[in-house]
Amino acid sequence: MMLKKISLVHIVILLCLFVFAFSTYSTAQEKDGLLKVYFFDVGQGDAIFIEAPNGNQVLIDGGPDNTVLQKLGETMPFYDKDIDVVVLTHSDADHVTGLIGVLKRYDVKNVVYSNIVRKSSLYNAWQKAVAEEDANIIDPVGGLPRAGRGGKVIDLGSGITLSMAHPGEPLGGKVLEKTNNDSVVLMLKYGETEVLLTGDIEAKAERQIILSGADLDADILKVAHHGSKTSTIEEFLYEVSPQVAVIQVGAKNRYGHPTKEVLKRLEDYGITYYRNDIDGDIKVISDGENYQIITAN
Amino acid sequence: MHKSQIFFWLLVSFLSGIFIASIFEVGQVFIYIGFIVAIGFIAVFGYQKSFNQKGLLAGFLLVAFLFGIARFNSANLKQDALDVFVGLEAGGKGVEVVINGYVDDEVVVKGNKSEIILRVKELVAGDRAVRVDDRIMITANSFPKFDYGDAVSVKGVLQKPQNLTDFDYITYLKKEGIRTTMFYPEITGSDEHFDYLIYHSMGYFEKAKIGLYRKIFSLKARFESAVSRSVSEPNAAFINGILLGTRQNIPDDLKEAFNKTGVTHVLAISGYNIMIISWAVLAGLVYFFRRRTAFWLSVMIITLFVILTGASASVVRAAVMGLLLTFANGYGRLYNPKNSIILAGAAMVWLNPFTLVFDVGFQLSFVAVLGLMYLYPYLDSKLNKIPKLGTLKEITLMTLSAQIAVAPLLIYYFKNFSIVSLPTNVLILPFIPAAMFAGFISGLAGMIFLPLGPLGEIGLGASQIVGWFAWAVTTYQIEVVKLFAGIF
Repeated sequence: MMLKKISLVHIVILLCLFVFAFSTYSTAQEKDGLLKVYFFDVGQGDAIFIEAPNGNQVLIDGGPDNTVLQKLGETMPFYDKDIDVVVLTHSDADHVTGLIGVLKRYDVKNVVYSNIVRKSSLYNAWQKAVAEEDANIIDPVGGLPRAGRGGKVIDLGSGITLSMAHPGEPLGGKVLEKTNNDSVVLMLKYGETEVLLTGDIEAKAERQIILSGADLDADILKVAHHGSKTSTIEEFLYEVSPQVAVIQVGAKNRYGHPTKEVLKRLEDYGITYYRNDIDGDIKVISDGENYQIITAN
Repeated sequence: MHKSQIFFWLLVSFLSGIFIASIFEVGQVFIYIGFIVAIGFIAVFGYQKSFNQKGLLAGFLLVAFLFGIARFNSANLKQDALDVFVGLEAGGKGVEVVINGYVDDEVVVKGNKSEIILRVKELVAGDRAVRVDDRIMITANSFPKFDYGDAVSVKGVLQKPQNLTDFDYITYLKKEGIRTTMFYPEITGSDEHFDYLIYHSMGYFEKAKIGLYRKIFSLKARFESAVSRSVSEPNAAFINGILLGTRQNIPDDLKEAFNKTGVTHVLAISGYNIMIISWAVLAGLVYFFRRRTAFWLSVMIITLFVILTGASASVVRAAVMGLLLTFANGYGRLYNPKNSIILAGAAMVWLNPFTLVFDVGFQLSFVAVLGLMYLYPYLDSKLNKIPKLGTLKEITLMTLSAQIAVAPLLIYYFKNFSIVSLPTNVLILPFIPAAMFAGFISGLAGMIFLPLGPLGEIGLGASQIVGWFAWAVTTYQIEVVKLFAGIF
């Protein structure tokens, strides 16, 4: 008798409750005082997602297409459509394209980028998307605290800071066509754990950052410009002296990234490195004292 | 022979004509000789003294057959004005021409390239300008973005499409009325002078059509973006797939999983999909209206839906098939199902003769409808001892009959037949109406409340709950597909 009364609607409702219970349970598990940094495997390009223990979220670059949306969908809880900070390091296609899709789908509160003038339809589309987003725009200015004139610092709460190390001066309004050396460089700090995120800077900017006198010492280095040989010079590696390096690179890319020169430099310094093309998504978790690296593959 | 039977066989001969002409090249001479023979038959057996019904019928059938051949040939051999300018070379390099026209379909973005179909109104080569009215496929960067109806000026080298893989790209484009392509040309967006020029060269109906479609596509885009704002990926892409048939945002590995498990049909607007919509709408309306009224209301809603999705040929086809099924299964009485279905098929083939042999989608949906119309009642009557279990039995049997009907085609075209297809379909399909409904509500609410700003926040909050509901249902479906794709 009872069975007859159970209709499809009941099954659907039960199913939903089940899925909700399951996913909220796994979300509740995650509130554990850990900082999580995800280096997403988005092909040839950068996309880094940071989640603070208090739930604050930062996305740095969006990769060459909309793959980043799938990654965010898998990583963020289903009810979460807010991102606190989006950073565009510089406006090349392999960094900006996915971010346009992110701005269209998520409610973004702060956007960090140098509002330069550049003749590129892609960059124009980004500017338009930012204008429609109604977000607080932060013009990046670098200089780590010890450099005397402090750069801007974003406080993520729970004692986590994201400090800007580069560019040395505000670039808003300048006409620029090559932007690699004007990438926003960020130092993420949580207790003892430091992660240096370098965008696509090359030797020139690396020297500038060293000369600024900043404290560059970090545990984990995101290798600049997908492992191009024009970046990651020895002096820079010496200053940063990381234990671990992450290379955001796509399989069989047409630039030959990462170059054997850079890989050799890393090996010479005894740095363990991870690559998105081999390791898939790379996740770093830290409790402020120790960190651990988890790869998908 | 009964009149309706004669009608049936005439259409069958017409379709056979199209079929033969699609496969073999049939020359004009053959058609002329055939016509003389046919007229001979009709004249001899139609004449009072030597009247013979069978002979007369044979004559008419031959006429219908030849008619089919002629229809295919006329579509296949049609000259395209752009064709003339293909392969122009000077000093070993292709000569660049300028084509002016407007974007004639929604732009398809694949990774970092986009495929733009342009309707060319004017071609400028050197100092000559020619009036044309042809479609061309342009491959370009994904940025800048162009929308339907945008007037553009394109400078590049005209090329003939080529079959680079097993896939018959040339015929695929021909089916879309496209015979030329351009790769990464220089595209200049519209300025006012240009818009004026393009729009001036058009008739009233073309202008009205562009205006209408522009509105429809922008509405569709707003709807999709509202869905993806309230539901996370890939669920949002999945919902947009089942509701509007847009597949481009679904990640490749998920598409692959859908293919493997034989459920890709839910992502396209197929006849089956439309049947589900009309069935769900009908089920809802029957509470409020008399059955007959409810039926016609659901027909109206489907028509509206077809227009909203852009009324592409495949969607119209799906709607015709879906409504035929609703007629047959839901409404109870179809005057003559055999004739209705072949008439629908013949009409579609008449409009685009390439569909019969070269459009796998057409064949699949046609055969699936046949399966649902003839196999389903048979299976249902054979298995009348099994309890109904709500709608579970109905859905299982429907899936089974459609799957059996399309199996030969799937094996022929894709060289595989998925064993897990049946369980996956049975587990997923019952929840498609729920996913569609929740997705539709969350998209609609987003469209209404988003522009309201802070005022809309409360409404958005409420619609968010519907969005979560949609998320939960689609998560279940996606996980089932992934699970079965993993097993297979």
